[in-house]
Amino acid sequence: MSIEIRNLSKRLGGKTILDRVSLDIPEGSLLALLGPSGSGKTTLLRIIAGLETPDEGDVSVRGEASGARRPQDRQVGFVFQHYALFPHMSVRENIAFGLDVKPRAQRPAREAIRARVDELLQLIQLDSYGHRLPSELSGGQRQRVALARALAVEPRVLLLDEPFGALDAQVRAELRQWLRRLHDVSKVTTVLVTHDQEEAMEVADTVAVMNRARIEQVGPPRDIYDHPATAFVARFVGQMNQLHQVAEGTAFARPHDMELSLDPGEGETAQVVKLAPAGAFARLRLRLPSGRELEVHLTRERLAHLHIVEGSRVYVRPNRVQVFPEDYSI
Amino acid sequence: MSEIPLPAEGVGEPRWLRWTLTAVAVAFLLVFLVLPLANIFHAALSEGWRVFLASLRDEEAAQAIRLSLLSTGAAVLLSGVFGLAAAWFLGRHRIPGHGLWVAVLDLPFAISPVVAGLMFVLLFGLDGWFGPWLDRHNTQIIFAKPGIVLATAFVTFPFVARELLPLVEALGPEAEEAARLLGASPWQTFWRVTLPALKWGLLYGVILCASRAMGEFGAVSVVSGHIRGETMTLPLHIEAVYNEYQFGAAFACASLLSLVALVSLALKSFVAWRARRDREAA
Repeated sequence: MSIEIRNLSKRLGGKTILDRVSLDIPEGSLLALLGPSGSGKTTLLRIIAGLETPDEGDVSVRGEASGARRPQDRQVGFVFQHYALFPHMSVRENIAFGLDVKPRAQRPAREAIRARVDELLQLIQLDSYGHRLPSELSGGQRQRVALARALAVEPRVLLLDEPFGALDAQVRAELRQWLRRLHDVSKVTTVLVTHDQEEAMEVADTVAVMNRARIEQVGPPRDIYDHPATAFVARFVGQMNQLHQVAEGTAFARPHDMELSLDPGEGETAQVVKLAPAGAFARLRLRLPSGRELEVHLTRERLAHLHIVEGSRVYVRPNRVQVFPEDYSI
Repeated sequence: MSEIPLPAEGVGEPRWLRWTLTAVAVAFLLVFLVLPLANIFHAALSEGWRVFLASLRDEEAAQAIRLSLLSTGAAVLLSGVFGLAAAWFLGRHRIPGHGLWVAVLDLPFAISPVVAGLMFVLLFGLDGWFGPWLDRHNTQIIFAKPGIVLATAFVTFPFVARELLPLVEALGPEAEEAARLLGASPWQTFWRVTLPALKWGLLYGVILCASRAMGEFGAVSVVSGHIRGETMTLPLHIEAVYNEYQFGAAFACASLLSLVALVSLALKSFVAWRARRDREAA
């Protein structure tokens, strides 16, 4: 196990930031800490890095307790949301920083540092940008430099705090695919903090969903999506329709687990309020007589077969229902 | 003037008003700033170069210049180190009473320099709190050089701290955290990351501090004791020779002080320009 987190608790000004959080992160994996803002995910990451200290509990990396280690001795690579590049240093100097500050005995020779920086510049596809200042780069380029800088010292773990949060949608999507490929090559144990469930699901091997200072569920993205452990996870990860109350709690169904029909008796009556046929799926918004709205995704063939338009009356029925006990947190 | 595009009549102020205001401003600058300053140099040289140079080479004048340089150097060093530490501490830590501490930084600006001087007399003078103890240890602060250095440093303390505090806050803790996580020690982080980001602000504060320290009169006047050839700074020396009707000597020294002011003004503008350029690039 690369990172073991045991019973971490942290309080700040009477507010519980982390509440007895435990988590195991296997060597070489990429784990996403997913949660809404204020759920404690960034604090957890900063404790792993040693930038903050927990009130209780411990973190160990490769079997060594890291509590006593100073941040500079933890050998973690950290990437900040706002890059935190050194503004007065060139791209090369930024990347070389971690190697330059090593004690003389451990510091690689000048040529070795240069070669390593060249290699990293190539990796982040900024070969010809070495002499530029961070201010002369775009946001996406800056974040790649920040990643290269973190990787230069060959960290034991790589920690990314909302690394794509400040970038626009397209650059975000490109960079997260690039990050995944990078991880497949480098195999550095990586923890990615994000509030973007799509990002977490696309990039990570394992997703840990956090809510209100606790981890609610840990698992592969598919499990999280198909078998959410709590109502919070069900609603936070992907879209979810809240259906009726049952004895055990509330029934939920995914938009693509809903069946539509034109035959009365095949489910509840509903009216199509909005129909967006673009993309692989047609997305429909239905309104029940009770006023509650449902989201339904149909294949386009199915839509063509049904001859539905906005305003049509349809009958809706879930194919697959998941029931969660009442949860008043949302 | 025809190349300068002026706003059309009726959009801004009428032309006569603009010209009048400009004329008033220029006249004011001429009469109150440029002419008196030019006159200092004129008066300094009115008795010829020989007298001018002799007044600067005079034993007492030379001592005053040396002491002014010493106290300025010490004040710059003290308020540079103190200002950097205070700005970093207040900018990085949210201590209780933060606003109050920032206000305390301004105290030396708010207090009249004469009162500041008296404070030191009350502390270190023979009848002061530490006076008897200092006397037993054969140390003299008031009416001696240490007092002059202290008084000068006190009145110039806020310059560097005030200049740096907003810069420290703007820099934020992240670059320093990044450096620490990359393996840099706190010391390396300070020298390689924090200080370079603050360098122009620090230099600006140091120049302000130095020019103020060179000209400091009130506080130093109280603690100096005016011992000729020993505890006179340049401004004190100017006043003394002026009171003895040695106008040539007084203006020669005054012109030197004015020259220092002009040079520091030029330096200050240059540093401000560089700082702005760096900020725009960032």
